[in-house]
Amino acid sequence: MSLPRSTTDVLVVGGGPAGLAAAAQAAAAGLMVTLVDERVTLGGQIYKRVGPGFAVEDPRAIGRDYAAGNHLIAAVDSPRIDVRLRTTALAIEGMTVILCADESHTVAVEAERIVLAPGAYDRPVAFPGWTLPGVLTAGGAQTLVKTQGVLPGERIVFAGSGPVALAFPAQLHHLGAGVVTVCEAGPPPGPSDVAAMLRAAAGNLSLLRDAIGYRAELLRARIPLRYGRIVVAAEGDGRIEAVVHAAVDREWRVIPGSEERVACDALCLGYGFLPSVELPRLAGCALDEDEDLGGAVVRLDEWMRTTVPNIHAAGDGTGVEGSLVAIDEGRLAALGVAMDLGALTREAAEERARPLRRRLRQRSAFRSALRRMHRVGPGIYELSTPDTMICRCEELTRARIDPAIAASTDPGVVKGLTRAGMGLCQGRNCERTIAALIARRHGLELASLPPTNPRLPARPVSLGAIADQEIEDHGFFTAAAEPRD
Amino acid sequence: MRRATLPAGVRRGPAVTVNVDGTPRQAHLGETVAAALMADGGPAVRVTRGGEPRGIYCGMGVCFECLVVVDGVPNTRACMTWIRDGMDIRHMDGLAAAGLTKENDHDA
Repeated sequence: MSLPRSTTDVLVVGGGPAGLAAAAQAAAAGLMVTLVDERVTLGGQIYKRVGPGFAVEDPRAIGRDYAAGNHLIAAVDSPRIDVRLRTTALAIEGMTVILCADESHTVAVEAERIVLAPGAYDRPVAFPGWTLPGVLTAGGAQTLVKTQGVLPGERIVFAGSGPVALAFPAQLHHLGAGVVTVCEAGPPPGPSDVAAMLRAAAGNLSLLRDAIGYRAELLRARIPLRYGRIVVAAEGDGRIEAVVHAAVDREWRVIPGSEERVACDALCLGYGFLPSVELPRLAGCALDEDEDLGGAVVRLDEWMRTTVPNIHAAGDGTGVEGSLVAIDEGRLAALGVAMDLGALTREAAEERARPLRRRLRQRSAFRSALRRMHRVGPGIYELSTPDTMICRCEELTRARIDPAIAASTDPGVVKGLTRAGMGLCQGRNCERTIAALIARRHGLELASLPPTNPRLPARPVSLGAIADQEIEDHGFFTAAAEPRD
Repeated sequence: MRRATLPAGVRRGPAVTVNVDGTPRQAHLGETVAAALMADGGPAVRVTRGGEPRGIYCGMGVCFECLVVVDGVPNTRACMTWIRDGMDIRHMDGLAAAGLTKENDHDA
């Protein structure tokens, strides 16, 4: 198959914080960069822009994030950087990446080095009613509110864990939305947590200040913040009308008899994020397992090199640590690329890397300090009943998948037997839940289960887009249209 | 469901008319189809082959739950599609929108 081809020094996949920072840093070292992103605008999820047609007269009004995004996006406006939007990476073969542009045609880009910065998505949590309209991920709800000015409901319940469980309800309230309850699965901060946070405060004061501000805003608005509680069911006819939440133990396992029902018209779920590891997996990069960083994480060295030669990776797509870490990782990856390609001396790269590494250590210390409170408990994967939809795309309930889980400890076999994970989302919403169900049924560690085989294409694509545009018609099609005698 | 007050300093795009299931409705340039539907009718956008209601879920192109028919093209992600003046939007009802029946749906 003949594809239009081009070459570049560095191909950066993903235009979020890590990809933007990597592209700008590589170009600053004199390299030619191609930066691709599947969305219409740069910025990724966190720095998502408002829609075309909206006018931003004062970027400060939308908050610090928006201004920071503007800064990063402006830095890739360079003659050395070829920015391609609405462009999705479908496959990696050696150092050639197959891209689908505008959902209509495919092209190939061959690069000296590749930086993968695919980002992350909200951790899916299967519980009775989670497929009801009105149940949204925190990311989805945030996009609606922040970049579209549309509220997901009038009476919103937020359930989740981590800094976002404070930040997002406060932002929603600020925009005039009614937030009826916030459930944080983790415990409230105790004296030892506060002490740990203060010890790790160096370089992280703004994060601490934000958390305190959001907490105060919720208090002022009299929005109940319920620690140690998780949503166990969403109920409604055709759309959500109520949620049931319950107390959990330290492992996030439900304490029977503690259930409470609250009426609502929207439920936002923010239990952290999972890295989008489809592309690193397709490229053959070694992965490790770390539930706190989102499960499957990409194994990296000190220059963000993956285990596959000449392929680097950075940002939340390699393990979820937030946008500030992603930016520094993106820069570090680009410095490594520039050094390896001879565009920077080792000394120059090391010198530029030093402050980045120091900041990354500080962030890592802060994350450790929060670990007791926001560690994801295994109970999160134990909320389904036999009737609960596990694979949303193929419409498979747990009862339909259970026999396969009983028969095999291999997630790939369960997928093959049931079709769970073969739908349009390609398993991103059920694979980890199914792996956890297998682990529990057979008494195994979730981390010990092999992932299913990566499959092409990394994203669904129409046949027309991958068909060879210059294919020679041997008359098969005309033959069908005009039968011969 | 409603359009929230945007922060001061941000202005919504111009109002345009779109067709939702054959009825003229107002939306704004710069909104995704998902946001416009959410603001004017709520979160439910389709019924699955199995007859389940589904709505806007991930909002970022990952989950393929917010599929609608846009200008005749079925299985279009509402969250990844910008509103255009005169756009024809239809909620998807099981197989019907894709021109399939139980008999010719090989996946069923």
